[in-house]
Amino acid sequence: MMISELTATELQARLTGGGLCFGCGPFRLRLNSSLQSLLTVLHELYAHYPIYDHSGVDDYRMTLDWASPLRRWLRPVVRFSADGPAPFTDVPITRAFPTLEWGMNWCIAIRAHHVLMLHAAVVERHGRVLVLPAAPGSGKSTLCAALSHSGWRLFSDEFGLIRPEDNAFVPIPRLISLKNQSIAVIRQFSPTAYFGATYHGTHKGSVAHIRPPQASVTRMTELAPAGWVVFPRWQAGAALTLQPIAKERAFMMIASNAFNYEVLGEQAFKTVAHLVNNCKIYTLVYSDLTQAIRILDELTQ
Amino acid sequence: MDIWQLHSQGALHWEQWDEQFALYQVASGETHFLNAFGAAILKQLIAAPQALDALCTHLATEFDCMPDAELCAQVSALLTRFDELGLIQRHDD
Repeated sequence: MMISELTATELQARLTGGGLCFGCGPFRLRLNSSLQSLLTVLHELYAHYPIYDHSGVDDYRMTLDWASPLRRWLRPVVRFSADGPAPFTDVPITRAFPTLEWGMNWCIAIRAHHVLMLHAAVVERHGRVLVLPAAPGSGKSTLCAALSHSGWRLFSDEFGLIRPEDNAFVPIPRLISLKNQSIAVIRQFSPTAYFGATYHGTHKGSVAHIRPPQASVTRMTELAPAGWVVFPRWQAGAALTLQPIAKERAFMMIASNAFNYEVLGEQAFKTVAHLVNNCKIYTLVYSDLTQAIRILDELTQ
Repeated sequence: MDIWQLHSQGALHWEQWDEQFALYQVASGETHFLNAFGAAILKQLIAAPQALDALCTHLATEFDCMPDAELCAQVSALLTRFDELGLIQRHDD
């Protein structure tokens, strides 16, 4: 059963009762909230995620609720927490949903140490994944959104999860988060992309979320090996360039890009080495999404 | 005379791409990046603990150069750096 199959009343009953238990990739999450405003957005943007019963063991238990009973009425603010103290400061109710999204990412980033976590977008085609590691602001999520609406299967726009035992990439098709100018770029590039509301004035500027294509969620238990690593960088007006880079440089860039390289230690070293030794690795500078997609399509034929 | 040896025998993982190396030291959890010269020094010390002079002789042969004062100064500087990084240590023999 998927979240979209719940009625609003059933969804609310779960959120305010035992929790909404759902799956995303390898994780089982439980969310509690009494925020009425979350109902519609969850129903629409989380539509395709499977619902789990309450009896399983959760990976993450999250709550997004009023910071205090009084703050529901007076300059209303909400608080995200997950199995302990709140990791973020309270935010106005108008930013509740982006905070939930950042909160889920935070949960994964600080605790999912059974996998090596790259800060990367990942998409799959023909049974192999294209890994797009990049720093914030590099156009990673924009490129990922465009690819995942151009025939590629979305693994993640944020986390490249690698299972050390077999070096397979693990899908975690969460919502794609776009910021500022990227929102209009993807609206124009892919009119079929399913957008939620745009939240203005967050600490990252304006933020909007895209629902993952349903097939990406349906196939979220299908892992795949890596085929290519491309470090993307969007630069206004830049000519399209795709250049191979030296393996040792790629190793350094990937190791320093990982969230938990130091935590996994020896396992991380071997996992990064396997990735570097078994992939073609490039840097990509682009200013035009269509050109970027075309060259990546050609690269991965 | 100072004899140099690895800090933790048998606890290194290597990756090599042409003349560049990545090295993982299990004891410290640190990853190091080395060129061929630095890697050759460590591999000599893996083979056997050695003094600076012996190391320079081996490296001069491997890199086809004179075992002169310039080479010894370069090796000495790298040994000091590797010592700071906890990769090697010295003891009087």
